[in-house]
Amino acid sequence: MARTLLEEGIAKLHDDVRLLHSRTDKAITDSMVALQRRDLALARTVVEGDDEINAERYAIEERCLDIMARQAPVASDLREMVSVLSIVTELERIADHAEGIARIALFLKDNPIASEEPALWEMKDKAQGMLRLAIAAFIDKDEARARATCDLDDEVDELYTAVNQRIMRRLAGVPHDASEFDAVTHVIWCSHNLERIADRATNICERAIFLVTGRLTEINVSTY
Amino acid sequence: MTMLKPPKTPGTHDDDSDAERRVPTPRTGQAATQLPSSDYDLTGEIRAQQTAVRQEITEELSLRVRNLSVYYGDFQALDSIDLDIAKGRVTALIGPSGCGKSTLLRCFDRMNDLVPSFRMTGSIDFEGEELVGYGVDPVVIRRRIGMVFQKPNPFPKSIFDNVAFGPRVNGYKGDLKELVEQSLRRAALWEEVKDDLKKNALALSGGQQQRLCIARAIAVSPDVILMDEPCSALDPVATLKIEDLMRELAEDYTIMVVTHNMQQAARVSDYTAFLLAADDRTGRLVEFAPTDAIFTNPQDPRTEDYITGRYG
Repeated sequence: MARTLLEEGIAKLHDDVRLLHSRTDKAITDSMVALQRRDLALARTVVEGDDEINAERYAIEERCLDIMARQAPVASDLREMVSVLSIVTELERIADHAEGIARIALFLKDNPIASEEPALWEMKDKAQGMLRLAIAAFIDKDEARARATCDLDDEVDELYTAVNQRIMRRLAGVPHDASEFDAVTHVIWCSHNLERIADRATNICERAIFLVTGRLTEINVSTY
Repeated sequence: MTMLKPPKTPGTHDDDSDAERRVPTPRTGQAATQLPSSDYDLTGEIRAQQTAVRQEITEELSLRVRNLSVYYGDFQALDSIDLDIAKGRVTALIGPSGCGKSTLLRCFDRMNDLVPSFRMTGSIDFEGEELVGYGVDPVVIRRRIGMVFQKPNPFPKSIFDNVAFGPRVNGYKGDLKELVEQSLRRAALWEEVKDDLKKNALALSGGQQQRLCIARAIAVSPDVILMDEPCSALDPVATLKIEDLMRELAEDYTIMVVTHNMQQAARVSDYTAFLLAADDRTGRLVEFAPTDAIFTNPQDPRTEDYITGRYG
């Protein structure tokens, strides 16, 4: 007795998750490039592209519901469904963080303050890398990789603290200047968005571990 | 319908209990360190096939099966079954055809005794009494352990007489009318038949006949109700009525149900036992655990294959 329809459905869901991830991944890159190069057109593309990501997330959820209703998955198949539902939500929220960074680029316009902070780029590389590892761990059902990925979150958290402390110092001794104050706030928001992306990547790792072990556990409690 | 009672098994998902869960429980009669010697020389795969993942029950037991083996002549139908049946709970027996589910169920009310070549070894403790052996009167057991079969089998008598049959045979001294009404109410059939208790039971619908059989079974106030595929001859609506009834009856009775319908096992039972016959056609327990654990995170890959529909 084979479950061809169910197995095809799950394989298709994996493809869907990969596709949604690649769009999200691109949104992260584009938003940071827009911020770095002060490319407002690119920033607008990221903001506008977010609707598509949202729509794709709902489409995947509907495919999950369809499989659950018609194939009645249990055991690891059921965990697969629940994990996908949770992961697409995380991906959609990560895309929102990328959209947030793009909006910051639009606010800052030609202010170079963000591009003068290379640690932001480092945060982006680490958070984006964690997300890629998390998705791979889920697709490959690789518990060890999922756990190792969660450990990287501490590095992102350290960078987050470092960026914020450094950027806040810019305000010391500066006479009251609303635009400088806003710019600093925006950089802090940007680093916050990147830090949240890394947190959400660990949430995806938790789902990968759940898929393999059947246990729901909080792997990494972020201090932020 | 009544809510599913969560099995009173503390710490089911704790990391601590997990190690315990994976280690097969030593069978009775063997020292904890001593595994059956025949298991040692074989490959790991075959060894794995011979040990069940059996989770300990911490609540009160109705039946305790230890090292139960069943033979029909030379053929061994069940091998070394260890199983705990919790009191006032629904326990489902699942597994593919020929795995020995029904044979196991029939051990409890000694139905197999009617088969001449039948022989069983091991022990079944029923609330302190031993069910296996010659000293036990099957008639007494069958009053305390009732059975509902796959096909509704009412007697070709009136509805009233069907329910009153057992109590009359047992010399019931109380108000028979009231007992019949109570039993029919308990079986969720009273409202449908109260105006016509003299009607022949065979004129009822299949679902009504099955509920009548349940009423007949509970009229003699048993402790345990065994159900062998009780819904397989019924339509979906009648099936759900029987399932609701099973949940309600579990408040007063211990219920064991054999089913091929895994969704039914998932819906109605508190505990699930999965049996499987290997190439020798002998049935063995593969896994026993609270139903939610079986259907969300089975420990044995054969259980996973079976419940996800990838068996065979």
